[in-house]
Amino acid sequence: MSGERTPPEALTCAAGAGTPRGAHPVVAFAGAPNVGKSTLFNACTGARRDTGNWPGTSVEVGHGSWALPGMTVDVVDLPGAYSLTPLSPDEALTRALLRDAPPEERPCCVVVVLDATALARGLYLLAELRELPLRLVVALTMSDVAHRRNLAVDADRLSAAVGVPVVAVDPRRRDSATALGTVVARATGSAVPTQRPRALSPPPAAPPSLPDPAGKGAAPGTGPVPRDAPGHAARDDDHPENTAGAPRRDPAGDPLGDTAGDAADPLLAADERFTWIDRVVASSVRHRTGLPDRPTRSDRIDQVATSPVFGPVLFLALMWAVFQITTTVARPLQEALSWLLTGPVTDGVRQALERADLADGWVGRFLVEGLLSGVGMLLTFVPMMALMFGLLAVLEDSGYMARAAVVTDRVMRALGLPGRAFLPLIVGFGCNVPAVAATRVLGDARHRLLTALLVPFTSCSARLAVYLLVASIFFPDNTASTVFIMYLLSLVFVVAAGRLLRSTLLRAFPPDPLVLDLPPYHLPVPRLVGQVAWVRVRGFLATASGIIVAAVAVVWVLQAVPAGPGPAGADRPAVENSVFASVSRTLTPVFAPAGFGDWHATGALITGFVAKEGVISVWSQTYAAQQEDGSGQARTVGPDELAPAVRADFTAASNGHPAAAAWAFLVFLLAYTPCVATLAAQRREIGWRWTAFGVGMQLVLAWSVAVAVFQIGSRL
Amino acid sequence: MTRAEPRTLADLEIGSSAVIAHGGTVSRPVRQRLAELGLRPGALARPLLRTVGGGRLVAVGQARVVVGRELLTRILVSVPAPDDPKVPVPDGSA
Repeated sequence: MSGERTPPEALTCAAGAGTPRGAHPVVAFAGAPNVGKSTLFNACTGARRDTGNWPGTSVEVGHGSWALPGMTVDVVDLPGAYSLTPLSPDEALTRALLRDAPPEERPCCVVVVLDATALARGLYLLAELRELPLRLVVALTMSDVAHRRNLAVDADRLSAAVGVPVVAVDPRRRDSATALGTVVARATGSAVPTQRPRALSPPPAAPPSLPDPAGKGAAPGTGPVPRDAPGHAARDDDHPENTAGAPRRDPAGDPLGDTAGDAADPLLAADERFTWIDRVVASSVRHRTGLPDRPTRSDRIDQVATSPVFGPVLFLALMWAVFQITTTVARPLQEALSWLLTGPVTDGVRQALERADLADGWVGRFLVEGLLSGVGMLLTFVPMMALMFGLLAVLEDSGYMARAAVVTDRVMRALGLPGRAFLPLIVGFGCNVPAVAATRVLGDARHRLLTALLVPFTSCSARLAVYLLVASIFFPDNTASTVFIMYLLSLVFVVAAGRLLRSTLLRAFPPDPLVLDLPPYHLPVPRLVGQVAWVRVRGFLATASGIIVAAVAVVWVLQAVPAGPGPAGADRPAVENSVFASVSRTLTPVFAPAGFGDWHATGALITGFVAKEGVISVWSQTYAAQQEDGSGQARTVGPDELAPAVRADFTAASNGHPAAAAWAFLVFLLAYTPCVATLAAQRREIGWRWTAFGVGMQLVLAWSVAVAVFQIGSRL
Repeated sequence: MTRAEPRTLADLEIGSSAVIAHGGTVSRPVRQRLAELGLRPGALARPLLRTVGGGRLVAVGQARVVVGRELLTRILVSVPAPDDPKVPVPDGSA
């Protein structure tokens, strides 16, 4: 325990405590994983969430603004943590910010989110936090699920027991945020409490109205546990090895096997906290009636979802359904958007340019051939992405994704990785950049390294857009199945690259046992699913409006600069005579063995190194510049108009085997470097040497497999 | 009243309950995480399902924790005799 405590009157939010980021006081949301913390954060901030690294660390946290009665606060959504004794860099941030930081830099108020169905699980963190001079408010979630499970958590008695305001909330309802906000506003106006005693005096006895749990005696975990109990041996925040804020590691290096020194550990602090937890739970949690203990609805679903036989089948079926629904439902929307952009929008812009006498100048050409063509085609994929993000959000919000990690645990074990490593890989199917950052959930540096090297092989949503385009061109009757196969191939690449690395460079890995808590299933709330999907689509659009526009501009300029002397009188070279085409042709022979040795494809892949969305943009730009309308002006092209041109080029480059070349192209696209943003994230997590190694590995694997696919496919 | 010999969580039949016992060969960090999830000495645990890869879905009160095959063999449990009056019962305290 730290000894110095802040006097009660010293710090208030109005005095600037907990305002390291700006003018507004900071309120931190803390809690164990899967308690609804981020959902509550979204409810309070209206999903106006910005994500970024916490200053001075590589840990990513969510930021938002929350309007409380009479004040606005900045909200920080801390990574999930069971305690202030961290096992991973993510958890270490919670400790650093809430415990190790000087009092004046700590948040103005901490909202500790507790799950009513598993109260004790979150109470250890609260026990530690209440020993610090922090303003605390408890948000109690999952009360409805607890009710269905024959449990009742008395918020008033819980508040009395823990000495902190408790607000029962349903993060899925807007009014919960209002109620919580009122209490938080009140707390922020109060003085910082002094050190609360670690072991409270026994809470008041259970009220007569709440029946004792049917005379069942001490409940599991509610009875006092001897101080020398091994279950307590791990806990002492004042132990020297835990004072640096670094993830704790077993001194023997074997996370499974070492038990030495248990009896000699100073266990007083942990023992007292667990005893306190037992008392708090005993005083505030009650069975409502004496109904028999029976499997819950989640248990019954898990009989299938985590089953050794049906679990993997269900996982694959769900993933296939996501892609099938995405492609079939979104297709009409995509076609309508494409018509809108290539027709009325382009015509309108052109007419406006003509009225301004800019249509034939570089401004007009850049707007029509560059931005409208490149970014416009990209925008046609927004409906598909929104639908896929929404469907994945449904799976996340329902609680299924935690089961997916269990189902894939065996695959991860084959790579020497813990099952939790699949969580960053799942994130990678949305976007590789946060997935690399998400490797921080892994405690061991070698696990993080291997996972970060494998993340680029997970097929991100940007690649999905290209799959859809290529599949619609070459396999129009099997678009969904083609995309699904690409995602299966993505898993194959992850496993193959992982085994390759494990058998060569990364041989010595510590075991990391599977311990994963499963949240109960929920019926997804459409509003929350929509919020999550929108946040991700917004991220995609931000990319499109930033790096993609820049890439489009560079490509357009390179297409406008002639590689040599052109025909007299031409103000712009034919695109095939441009610098862009020239550079692309230089690399084209490399891809000839893979069947797509065409400069259009090569140019698109070069741009795809910057960002995969650029593949579509560049194709659209390139072919738009080659397709002029009757007046001699270049015009935008839609996916349907792109198809014959791309198919013809692939047919020519592959000597009549366009399907095999298309598969090779897709495989290369899947496996080579995803984007520069991912490289930046990797460099931050694993250093530039391993990042450079990863790039080399991706290029070699991508090329080798693409060549193999074409050479075999063209002979079938 | 008698107690059976200590066994590991891996030995428990699906659906049968046992009390997490002291000892076992679980390291400090993993033991801490188990304790945080409710699997600490004195808690009643009940394997509900076999999961992919040989693990178990274990009920600890209302909480559900998946424990991998390797770790199951390192967590000691004691199975109380049927007439043991100290047998704890599940509740929502996990």
